[in-house]
Amino acid sequence: MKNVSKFWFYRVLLAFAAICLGLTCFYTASAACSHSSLGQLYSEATHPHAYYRICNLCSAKVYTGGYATKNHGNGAWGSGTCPSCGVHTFIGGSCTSPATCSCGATQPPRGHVWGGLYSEVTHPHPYYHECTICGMKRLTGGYETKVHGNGAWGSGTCPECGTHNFEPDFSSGREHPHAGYMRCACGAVELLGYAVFPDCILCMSGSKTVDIHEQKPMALATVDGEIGVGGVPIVIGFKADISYTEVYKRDEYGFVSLSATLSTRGYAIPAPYHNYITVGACTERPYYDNAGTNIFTETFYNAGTITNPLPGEAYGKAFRNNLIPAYSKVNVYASMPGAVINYNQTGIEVLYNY
Amino acid sequence: MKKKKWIVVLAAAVAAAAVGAAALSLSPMFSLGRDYQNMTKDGDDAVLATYKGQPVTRAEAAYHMSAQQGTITEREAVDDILLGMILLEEAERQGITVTEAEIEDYMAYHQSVYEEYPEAKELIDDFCAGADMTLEEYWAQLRQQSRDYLTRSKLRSAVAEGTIPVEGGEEVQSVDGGGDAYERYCRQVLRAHQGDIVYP
Repeated sequence: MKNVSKFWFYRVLLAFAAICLGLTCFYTASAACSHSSLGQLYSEATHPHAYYRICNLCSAKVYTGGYATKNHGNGAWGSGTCPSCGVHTFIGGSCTSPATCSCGATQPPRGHVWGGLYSEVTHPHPYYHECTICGMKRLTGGYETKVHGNGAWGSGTCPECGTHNFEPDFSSGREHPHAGYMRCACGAVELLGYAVFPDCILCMSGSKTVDIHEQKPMALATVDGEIGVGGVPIVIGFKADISYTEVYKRDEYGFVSLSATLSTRGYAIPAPYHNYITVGACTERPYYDNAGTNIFTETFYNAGTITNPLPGEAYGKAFRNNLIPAYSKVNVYASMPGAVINYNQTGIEVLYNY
Repeated sequence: MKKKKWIVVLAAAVAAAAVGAAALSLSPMFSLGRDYQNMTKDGDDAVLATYKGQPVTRAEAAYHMSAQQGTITEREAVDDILLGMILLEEAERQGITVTEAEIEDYMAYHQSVYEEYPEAKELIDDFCAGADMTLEEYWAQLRQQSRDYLTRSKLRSAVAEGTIPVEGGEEVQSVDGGGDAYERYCRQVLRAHQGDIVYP
């Protein structure tokens, strides 16, 4: 066993001595070389890339001083780049994806920078914040209700928000057939109809006149006039004298009433009741179709003034309606203040022949 | 079979009578007739005021309130009735009289209204039904009250025409045929006779 160990000990010792001898010889030789013939200038591949030349005589590297600065890059052999030289140039980064450098280094996403609160231009206008860097929108919930309008940018309006507010517009209706429109600020337009002008020759053309004079019985009841002293009621009977004239026609746009005048008064009202009873025109002027259905209603306007009222004199304004009535009703009333039966109404039927 | 027919006819008649009674009971004139009957036959005799000894009872005030469709208070009704009494006295003082011919004309007019105006006939018939009185009783009562009514009407006309002076300024423009002047006249005579009115 001892012999074996010795054997290995001497062998290792011999090898070590040989190595030491080789190195000693090398360095002795180099140190001894004057490096008078040097090769091309190189730089170390590894940072910081010291410049050197190879001695043509002893092949030793002879450092010349100084360092090469390579282009910043991944340092691939032959690329002339180095990840440690220069500075990173990160490209391609965004709020949500990392930026990368040509050397392979990365920079984390920057994250969004949220700006002010906006609402979408298009209906229903959800609220959102917008990233000032990438422009990404983040909905916050809720919707803005804009003012009803044409929706022009910056106007704060929207044609779908709110409801239409139609205003009549007859500016284009001076010419027959006097079309009138309803216009909304949002741009919506509806045909209102066709106006009538009694002073327009074409409006008056083909018109007919209905002229009616009738007397209708009426009755009111009172207890001893305005001062009651416990008697039986007095029943007053009289007639309402009704005169009605209407100029009308039917044309391609419907029914036209060009003018209407109503005159009524109490007929055969004895004294002293004539002082207390008022006979006047009812405001409503209903029109009916052949089936007796009220298809539209117009208004009677009383003549006279506040200080001089004329309840028995009324007129109807000219109008046009696309429905064609078969007849209308003209109603009058009688009233007596403080009476038991203080109101009574009667009327006449006005037939239209087209 | 005949019995069944009679039962059906009877039932129909009862139903028709019920419907008719319901319609009458809804009529304002029928209701007024009821109130008139209450006043004349079994009304409240409690005296609410007197004018020179003439009483105004609660029943009379209630009937007047009913005639005014409940738009006035009991005190206003009493004052209206008192005013009616005072106005009659004032008319006499002013020499206003009513002739028999005027009363006949008045009655003739109302009777012709009853004959010629179906609506008027219906109103009077409704009242008579409510008051449980005959048409003859209605005419008799109307004739009895006609003198007072015509007297007051003549007084009103005289005031409106300016024959009887009214205290205070003159009306610039009448809007109701002299009603404003008459209202002022009424207030004037009521003030003048306050001393003769007693409210117990």
